[in-house]
Amino acid sequence: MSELSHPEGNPPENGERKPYESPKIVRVSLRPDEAVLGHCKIPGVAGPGNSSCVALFCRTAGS
Amino acid sequence: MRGAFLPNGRLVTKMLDRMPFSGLEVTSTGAPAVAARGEAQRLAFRVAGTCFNLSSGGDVHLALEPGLAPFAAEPNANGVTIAVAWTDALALPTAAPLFHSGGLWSVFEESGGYRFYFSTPHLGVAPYKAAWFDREFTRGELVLFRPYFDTQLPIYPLEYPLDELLMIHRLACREGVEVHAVGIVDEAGRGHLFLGHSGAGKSTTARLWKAQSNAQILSDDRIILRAREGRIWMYGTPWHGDAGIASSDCAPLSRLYLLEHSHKTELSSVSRGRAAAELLARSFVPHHSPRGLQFTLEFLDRVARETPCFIFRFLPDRSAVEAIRRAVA
Repeated sequence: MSELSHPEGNPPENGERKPYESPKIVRVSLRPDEAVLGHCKIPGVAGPGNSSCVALFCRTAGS
Repeated sequence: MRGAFLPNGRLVTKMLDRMPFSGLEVTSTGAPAVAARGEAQRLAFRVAGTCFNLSSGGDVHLALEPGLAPFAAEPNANGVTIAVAWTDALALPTAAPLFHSGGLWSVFEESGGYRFYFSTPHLGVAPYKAAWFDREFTRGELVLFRPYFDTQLPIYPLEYPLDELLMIHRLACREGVEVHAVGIVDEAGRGHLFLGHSGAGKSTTARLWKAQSNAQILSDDRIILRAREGRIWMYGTPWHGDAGIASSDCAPLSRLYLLEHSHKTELSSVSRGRAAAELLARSFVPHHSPRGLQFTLEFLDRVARETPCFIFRFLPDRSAVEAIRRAVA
């Protein structure tokens, strides 16, 4: 039986069978821009030599 | 660059015309030396049990960023080693990348390993640095495009996002997973992991616990999960969020919570399957690596199987901390 048949947890271990529930598709929210560490929160400040922030010590992305 | 760590703390190095593993051209320094320059340097820090060793021939003045101070460590030859040098010529390859982040970095398969290039439009077309690593991410070479840097200043060459990229690729070699979360260790030593995207309330949660308890906060933004001694542990990282909290400690993981803002505070359990999916959505993984993804999926399935998971809808007040305390009492 698929995992999705047990939406509230693992199959019972005491031998009792839970009523069948049909599989469900659950939509999970993704944030691709955060997940790939591609951007700084402050546009245009990543990398060296930027005078608008201490870019080399910046830690603003994805928080 | 080749070198060996000696007991007196000096790194004996010999600059070569070429970086030995990758064949990339590097140039010897022409910059004037300042105090402590001209000598080989090495620095190291340790995150979640992995030691990252940086070395330079002395022409690149290395420094750890301030947030890494609690993670500073003695160099360890068993960790990840990265040699740093300047270059005066750096360009993106013409070949197609394995993966492009859509932002600062892209990765290419090169010289039997992976090379990451970092670019930003405000500097120009040329990448400002590139870093090559072997397939296990235990050995690397990093070059900084000299025209973009002030060579008089100390440099932390793994600046965002490279240190995290290196960590998540190393973790994907069957070591663990980094997640977007705040990790809190309560007074009984139980590890509570609150997962959330940006804006979900991680730093708020950290501040609430800091104000209302003697709990220890490992990080308010990035936590690393690893298996050790037959169970899952959560480790603090230097990569903090708005609350600025970072600890190098660790604790056994007891519970997972998916953060959601709400008009009232409540906990509701979620299935193992959904927990694994939600974990993946809040994980940092090398999307270009089938092997890394396969391990990550297996690891997160184990985490979800072994750890109770809840949706935690919360108001940002005392009730948020109290609800968790009641649930574990």
